[in-house]
Amino acid sequence: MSAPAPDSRPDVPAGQEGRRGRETRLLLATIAISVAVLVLLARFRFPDQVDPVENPAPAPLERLAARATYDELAAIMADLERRLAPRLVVVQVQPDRPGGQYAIAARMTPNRAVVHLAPHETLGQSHAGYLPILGRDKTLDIAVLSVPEAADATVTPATTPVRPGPRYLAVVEANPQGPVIRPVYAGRTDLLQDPRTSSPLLSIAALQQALPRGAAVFTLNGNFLGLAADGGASATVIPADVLLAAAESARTVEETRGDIGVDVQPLTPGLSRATGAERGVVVSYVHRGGPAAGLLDTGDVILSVGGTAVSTPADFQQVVQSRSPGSQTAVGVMRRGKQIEVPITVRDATSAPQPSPQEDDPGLVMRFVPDLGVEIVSVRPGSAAARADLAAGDIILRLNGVAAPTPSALLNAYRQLPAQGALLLAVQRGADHRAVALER
Amino acid sequence: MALQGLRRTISLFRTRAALGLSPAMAPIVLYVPLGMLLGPMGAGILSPRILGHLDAVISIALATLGLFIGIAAATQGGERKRLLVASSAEAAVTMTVVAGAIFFLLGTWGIPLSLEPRIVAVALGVCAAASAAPPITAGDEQARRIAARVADLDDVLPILAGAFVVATLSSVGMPALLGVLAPIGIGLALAAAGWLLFEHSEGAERGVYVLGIIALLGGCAAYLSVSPLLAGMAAGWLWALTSGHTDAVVRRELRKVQHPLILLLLIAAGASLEVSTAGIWLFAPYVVFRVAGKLMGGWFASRMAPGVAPSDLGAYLVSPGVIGIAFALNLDQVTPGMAPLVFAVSIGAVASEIVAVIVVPPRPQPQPA
Repeated sequence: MSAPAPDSRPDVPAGQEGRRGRETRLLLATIAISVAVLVLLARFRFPDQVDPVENPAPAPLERLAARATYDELAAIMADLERRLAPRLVVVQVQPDRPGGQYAIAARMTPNRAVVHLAPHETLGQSHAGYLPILGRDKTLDIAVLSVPEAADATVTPATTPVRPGPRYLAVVEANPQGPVIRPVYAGRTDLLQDPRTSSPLLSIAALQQALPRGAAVFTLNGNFLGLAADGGASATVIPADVLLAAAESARTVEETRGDIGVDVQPLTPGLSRATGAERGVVVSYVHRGGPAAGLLDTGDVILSVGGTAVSTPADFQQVVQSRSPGSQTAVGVMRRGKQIEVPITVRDATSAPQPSPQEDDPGLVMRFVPDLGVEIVSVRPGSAAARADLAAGDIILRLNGVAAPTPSALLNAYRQLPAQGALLLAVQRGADHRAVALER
Repeated sequence: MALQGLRRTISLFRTRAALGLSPAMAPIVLYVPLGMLLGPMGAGILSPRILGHLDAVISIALATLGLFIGIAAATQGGERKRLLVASSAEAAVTMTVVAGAIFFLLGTWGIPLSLEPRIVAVALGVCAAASAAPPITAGDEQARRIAARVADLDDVLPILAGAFVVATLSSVGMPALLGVLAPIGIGLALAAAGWLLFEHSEGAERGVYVLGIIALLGGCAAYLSVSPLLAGMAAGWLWALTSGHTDAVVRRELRKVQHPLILLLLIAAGASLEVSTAGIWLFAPYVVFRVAGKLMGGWFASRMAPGVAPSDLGAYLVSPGVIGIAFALNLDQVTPGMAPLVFAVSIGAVASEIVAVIVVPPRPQPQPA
């Protein structure tokens, strides 16, 4: 709206002309000052809540740098997690103790992984099932495990020596749900000569976050530095080349597989009803002079070994083999409807007297035919069965006068034969029936 | 030269003293700092717990202020409509200038506030739009009398806008439009009830009724988290328009509590101040752009109502009065995070009072006989 000229406003009281001029000048001055103040104030930035610690970097650059570092680290961790997960195995340690621990096993070769394991420690299940211990190095507290074959799933050992100085490392810890990766800032890394190894150990000091013992340590490139030998704010890492050498020489250096001297068979529904056990494996044979001799009996149902439940013969073998020879393990047994716990001292499977095939194996592969007996699936040439003229397809109807025998009953009866002893079998071949002597 | 400047400054103080409001003794200049001294930042006599108890009294004081504005808006003399339009235009210009400048600066500065910048900018614009003309005396010129009427009328639009801001920020969850209509409804309903009571009572009994209705106005508005200023203004407007002398009765009864309530409001505002970096940053532009907005708004209003509003109207309206502080306290009651705004408005009001000493046109010297 345009203002009328002062002269055209007769209602303006006399003496106000000066005021109008003053007010207009004041208004113009105010507008000018306001615009100037607005432009001036717009040049300022509200101070950020900055860390009181002085930093020579300008605040905006510092924030940008920090954000970029964390974003970059997060991306690296996500990439490493994807790449390393198939190369690592989480295994349970000390499963018979409440709140069992977990450890990371790094796949050094396609079928062997290395885990940090103290001599007194035992292994339980892993995500890949029970992993037999192929060897242990008791000076470095490591164990070599047999893992399912995976050609492209081995870790890549770091070959170049680690330079000293601060750095970020990727640390993988064991979690019941799987491996967990996180970045850890190390204030200093040094190489440390150790008489136990040919290669120097890696000493990490001034860690931002404590390392758990046995954690796998990687560079941000994904190269495997080694396993943490001890935990805390400073740690020693057993280098990857030492672990690789241990994995490759495990069988030649040390072969320690646990054994309690029993054979087992699956718990069938009929055996389940007969024994009263709902799960477990049935003892089909107890080796004479073995650790279980006199403690376990044929027909016992093994429910657990060292606190680890077993359901199949494969489970049983793997759990027993993972026990340290010489250690005592509690075997949970169902015997005549009662649960008991039997302490058995584990022996080394390699040092156990191996029965010769001629002594304990009639050379038969059999399957059970309910209400009928045992059907022979195959016969090993030159075996006792071949000598008795048994052939694939034959059905053993009776064993020493007992109708419808089971394969394990036949095997047990054969193994318990004295030298030069023989079993009397009633065999059906097609429509023919005949009696056969299976001699030991 | 220096002596001449000193004389000029002293003459300014004399001018204010002649109005009965020497700068050092203006209510805001005196009682807001006094509240700071008594509050948690000072002696701690008015602790946060006591201030919490005073919330209800502050709501009643806000309703009382709204009541006076409503009565004044409805009982203006000649040219009331033209003056109301001009006053509203002046308030709108001031709100726009302050809110626009603050919004621009908030975007540039990056001040971390718990409320959205546009809400803070509008709230500061509403607080800045209110004004209080210098008191008039029997011998005052026409321009000063008109300015006093404009100062009453230019609070109407900010009270409506303030009610909208309160409704937007209210945690009760009612729609904003309902948040504006609710205090109007409360004010009209209680005013109707009060009118029936006042007409059939007299003496001390009527005084009790008046105070009771005012307490109900403030209490209901506070309970519903709506603007007590708008509730009071609606009630005052209805009382002024109804037959009889209700408005005069109410004004007479409230005169007994008016000054203590305003005093309490200012002291509570001072005690509620929290010095913050954000508040300090908002304070200076609030003062500068409020003065600019008032001068621009006054210039615009005088052109809208030529012959009625004085051409230098804006200069008379620089004095902020207590309404701006009342707005800020009301917003602080409704939502947390208003501490920087309360600080900027309260300290800005003190600073504006001092600026008004320089800007308000001096009274013409009496002609020698």
